[in-house]
Amino acid sequence: MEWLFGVDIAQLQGLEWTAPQWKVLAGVVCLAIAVLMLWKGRIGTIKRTPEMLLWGGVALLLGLMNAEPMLVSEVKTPTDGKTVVLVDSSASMSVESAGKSRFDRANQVVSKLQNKIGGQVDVWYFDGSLKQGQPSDTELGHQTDLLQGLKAIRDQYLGQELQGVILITDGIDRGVLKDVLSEVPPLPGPVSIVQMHEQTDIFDESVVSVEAGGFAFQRLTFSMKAHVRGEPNGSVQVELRKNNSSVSQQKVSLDEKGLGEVSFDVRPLEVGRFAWDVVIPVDARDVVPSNNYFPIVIKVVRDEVRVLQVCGSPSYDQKFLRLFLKEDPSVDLISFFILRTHDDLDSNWDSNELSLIAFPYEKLFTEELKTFDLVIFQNFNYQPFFGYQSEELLGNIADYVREGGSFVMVGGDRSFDMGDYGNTPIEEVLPVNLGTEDNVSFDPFVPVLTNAGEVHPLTKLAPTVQGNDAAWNQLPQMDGVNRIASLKSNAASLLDHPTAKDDAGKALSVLSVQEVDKGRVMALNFDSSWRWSYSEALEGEGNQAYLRFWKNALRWLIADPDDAQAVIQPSRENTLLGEEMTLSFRTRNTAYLPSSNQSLEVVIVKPDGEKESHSVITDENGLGQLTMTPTQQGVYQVRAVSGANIDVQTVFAVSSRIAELEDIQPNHSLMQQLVAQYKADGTEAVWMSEYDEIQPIVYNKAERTIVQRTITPLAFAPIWFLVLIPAVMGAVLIRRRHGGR
Amino acid sequence: MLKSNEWRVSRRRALSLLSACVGLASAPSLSWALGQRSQFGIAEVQLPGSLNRTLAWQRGLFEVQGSTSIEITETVPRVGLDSVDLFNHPFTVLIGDEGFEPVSTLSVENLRRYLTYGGFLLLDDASGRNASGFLDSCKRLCKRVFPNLPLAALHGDHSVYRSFFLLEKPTGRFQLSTQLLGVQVNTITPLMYNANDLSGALLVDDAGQYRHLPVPDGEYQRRESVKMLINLVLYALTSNYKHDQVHVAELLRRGEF
Repeated sequence: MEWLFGVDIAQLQGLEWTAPQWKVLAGVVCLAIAVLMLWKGRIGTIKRTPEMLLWGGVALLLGLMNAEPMLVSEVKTPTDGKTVVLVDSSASMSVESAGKSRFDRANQVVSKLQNKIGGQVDVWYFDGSLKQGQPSDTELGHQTDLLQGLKAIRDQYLGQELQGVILITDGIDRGVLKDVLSEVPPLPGPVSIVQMHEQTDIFDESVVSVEAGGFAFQRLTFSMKAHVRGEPNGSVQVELRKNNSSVSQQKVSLDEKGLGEVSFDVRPLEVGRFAWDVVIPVDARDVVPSNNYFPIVIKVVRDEVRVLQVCGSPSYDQKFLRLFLKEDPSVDLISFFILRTHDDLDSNWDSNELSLIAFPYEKLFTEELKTFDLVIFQNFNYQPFFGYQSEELLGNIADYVREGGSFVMVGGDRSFDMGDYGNTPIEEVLPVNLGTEDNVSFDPFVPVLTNAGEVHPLTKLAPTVQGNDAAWNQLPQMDGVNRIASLKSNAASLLDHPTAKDDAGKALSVLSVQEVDKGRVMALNFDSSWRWSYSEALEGEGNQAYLRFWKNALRWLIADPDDAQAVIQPSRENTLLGEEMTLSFRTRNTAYLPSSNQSLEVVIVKPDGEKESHSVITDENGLGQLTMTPTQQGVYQVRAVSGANIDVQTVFAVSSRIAELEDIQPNHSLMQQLVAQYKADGTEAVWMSEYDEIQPIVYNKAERTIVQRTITPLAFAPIWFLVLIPAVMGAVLIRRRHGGR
Repeated sequence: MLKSNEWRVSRRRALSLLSACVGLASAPSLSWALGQRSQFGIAEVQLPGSLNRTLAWQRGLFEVQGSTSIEITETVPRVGLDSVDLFNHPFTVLIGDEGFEPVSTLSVENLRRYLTYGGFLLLDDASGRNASGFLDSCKRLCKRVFPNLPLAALHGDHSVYRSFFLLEKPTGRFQLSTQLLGVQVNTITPLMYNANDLSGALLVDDAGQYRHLPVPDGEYQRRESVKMLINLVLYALTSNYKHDQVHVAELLRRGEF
């Protein structure tokens, strides 16, 4: 029998068909065609039936051979049991003492055990799952789950006897072991626990986490709450830093568990993403200095645009602008109107009758200036108020603009040259040059859109160029204009006077804009834009022209970071080390349309200062992406540059904070409870310190069975040919006898 | 009878204004806005049966110019509610001493847009009666212009009572009502009704002499009437600015501004 089938029938475990389906199907089709061809011309002939039965049998056998049948046999050989060493490879094992980490010392223990224990020793590493092969220090896991590790060993060696299971760990468990000790899995051998720990108490202070709510509002105070850990009942000094400069420091008292928390109040003045660090100064005894630092990036958003409107005289122009600003829920308006001048003192009113307050110009234009997003001088003459401080206060406004503020000067008999702004710091930031002698024209006029005005978002009253031209042409006449000497070279005139020329002989600009360093400035050289409010109203169409113009102006002037020509958007402001981060880039042109095929040179500066360069090209929607995996803890800076127009940057923070390192005190108690539980379950178990003589329990009598599995192809076994050859010969013989070929 | 320029105010008191006014020009400034059309003016709404008191408003505007920084035009045009010209005059008054016929639908539509988008209308009742036909007509007009908004009494803390002077009540030639009525549209009151004949207190003849002696308080009442007009003008131009200022002042006191 063994010769017939090619295997020992006693060891036979089963039959497997190994040919792929296509091969089986192809064989069936070929054989069916062959049988049909042999049958051709013989249909209905009863005496040929035996021939066809034989051919059918041959075809069936060939079909079965084509399916590649395999005979499976097993040989079982008893041998000595294995010893399993289970090493904790979680991050808490990275804690160092005397220059060696717990993990290094655990591997030394493993080497000793391999030399000491006879037979095969299987070494496994575990944190959240079981692995073979020693991980590097940087590959240590983030989530110790002892219970899962023990269950995995049970499953791995199911049905075997082990000489012993040796668990080498610091006992810090992030799973549920302590809650379900009575449910520990039975192991197929005695259990020995080698406790890794330091000989003296370890010292570690850490910033466990920082909560800041994800984002903050500009100019509104928000709290950054830091959770810290240190010596029980001790205290730690916690510092909040921004751009490596100390913002605030606090001493925090810790409870009996060594936990404490501290809140830092922060009032961000600017919009964008900003990085802070919460830091505990590193003590020389600190075994994990890396957790003394927690970087965090907060996105500061603008919930309101804060506008300062200063008006030299109540007027229709001031009234309509104020109404617009007051009705916009996104605007926080502070208005100051000069209701009374020196000239008005001659009227015989008692001060007790008046309801007026002082104009706090000094406070406004010094310490409070930066709290505004936009300052509007509407027909305001500074001289009577600023006096000898004029240079300083106007200089403050110019500096405020250069540092990112916005400024508008609206026309009137107290504005531009009529307000003596020539040769002042304000003129330096205005888009127009002053100093003209012919400083006013009272002739009514209809402003004309310039080429720049046709595409600029500020003067876009309709979505199409033709519609925009038509919208501007329908607007009513303005009453008069503040004349200027000329337009500055780096400014853009959006509206011109239809006929008047400036001192340079060019069309007189009546609406101009200019970017001054980080800030933006608009000059509107007339005081009758309020008439636009009524131009459509009297035709029953609301006041859209006026609203659109000023909404556009606000939007452009404020230059919201998300409205810039290029924007970098990280997928998260704060991420963990090793987590993938996507940086999205969005670009638009000056007409606010997506800028496709825009090439951006992107530089990523890592926390250690190392630079990484990338090139990003935007798609037809003006979008581009860059994916990266941060490898360092700290703040990453991302900058994208394209030509002279685009230079934007953002930040995101990477923390390596993992639960494993929140509490790094070895847990002797849990391991001793685990040993007690195994003993209670009838498993021999022992606990020992790494500093004791390592004497694990090892059963030399343990046995296991090695199974040798053999697979033999049946297709070419002699049995097939013994059946096949006579069948073919018989069929041919019958065929010939009946006249076939 | 005292004339307005005879009000007795000491020089010391005048100087004390220095601390109260919103900034002071150290030197006189010549002001004329950019063209007469942008200067503040008052236009009278012309309806069948309405009164015209150009001289009263000119007198009032003279006081506005002398007391505030507002640049005025003394021209007092007359406009119809159905006229496009209405929109050239953001401050209008309608004076009457008796009821008037309902205005056209076009006038109602025009007035609604005018008031909604920034205009101001003062309804000045010159009847000298508490429940006048003029008031009834005004109520009917308001109901048509703002069907869902009532013509209601303005509270004592309304900005119109503190827009320039501190006032406790509205005045005029008479002292019939202690409250202004108004229609509140969102945060502003673009339409107000005064029952006390404000223009009557300001009305002068061709020689510049006041035509009527306000009752019951005579010249004191006229003085208060001038203050009322100035407050109305300031309110029309600055709306709830004063309300904001109280808020700002509070912030300043707390050092948080």
